[in-house]
Amino acid sequence: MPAVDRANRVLLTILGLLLLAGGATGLAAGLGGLGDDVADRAVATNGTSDWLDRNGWFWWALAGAALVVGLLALWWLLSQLRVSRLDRVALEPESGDGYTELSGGALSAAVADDVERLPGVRRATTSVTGRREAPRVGVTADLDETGRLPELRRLIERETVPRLRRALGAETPIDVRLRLAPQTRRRVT
Amino acid sequence: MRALRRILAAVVALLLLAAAVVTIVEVVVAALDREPWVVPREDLAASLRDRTWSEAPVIAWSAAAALLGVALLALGLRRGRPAAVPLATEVDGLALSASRRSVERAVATAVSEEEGVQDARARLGRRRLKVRAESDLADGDVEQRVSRSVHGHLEALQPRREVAPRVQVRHRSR
Repeated sequence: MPAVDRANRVLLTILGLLLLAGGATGLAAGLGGLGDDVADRAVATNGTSDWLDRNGWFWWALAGAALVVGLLALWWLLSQLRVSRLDRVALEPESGDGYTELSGGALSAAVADDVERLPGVRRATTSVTGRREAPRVGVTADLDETGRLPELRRLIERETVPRLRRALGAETPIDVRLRLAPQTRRRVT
Repeated sequence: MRALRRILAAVVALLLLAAAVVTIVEVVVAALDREPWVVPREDLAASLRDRTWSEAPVIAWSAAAALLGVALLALGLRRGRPAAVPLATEVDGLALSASRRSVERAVATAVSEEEGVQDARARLGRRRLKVRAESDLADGDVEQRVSRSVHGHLEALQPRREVAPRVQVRHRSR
């Protein structure tokens, strides 16, 4: 899920910068970097209290900002848990009228079955993500024979991918991740 | 790295959400002139008025915030090693890759089965495949065998970007 990871990196970086800026300012003030008068000044002066008393709107603005931050945090939290699997996929429309839909689960099972028939593949798991009209197929194949990698690759490129695209559309993006098996070779002694 | 980032992102998001809820409730509660919910606002305001910037607790809190900021920055900016190596393919729209761990394991197993090799470890980065093997034979052939095995794996794999192998054999005395 690279999109989630990108969002995580951006948001963690922004939060990190804000915390670092705040902390560094506090340290600079406390250690005399902003002048001795600042270091000896109270964190909240009487001026601050007076200003807050006179400007009651500040607290409502703070609550509004907290609402925005809270909603953003909720979205962020949920996006860590969400798996964007499609439940239905539109098959390539043959003509202008009507189209056929296929359940995402059935498509996944069919693709996994197809990949498991390839030589050297022990097990395959599939996920269908993206949008209904523009699905994206992800396959993870566990291999049991690394030696047949070139042959396997040829078959994926020349047979599996064209077959899938005949059903889903010629442009369908397909991710295939291979997991190699450690090759145990019998040693001649 | 990605999984760790995901867990910590969830924790940070949860903390932010909690802070936001507390802030909203406290503002509403204060507007209604009720007792505070979790934040004792009078005490907090008093301690902010009494403490100067140079007092130890203020400096400690500032330092903690700065450190946490550095930690989050590192977490956000570090790329970490990739989960998978992209493999070469001529088919448009096909992303073929091999899981990094499985490549490391396959290479390490193959190398450790070469004659004279006791133990081997492989570490795959974005551009480099580092292989360290331990051998109890003191001849240069072990290096050659290990190197051949590693090159063979990379040739079969055909990564999209060139991955340079680096082989190191340590000879143990028997």
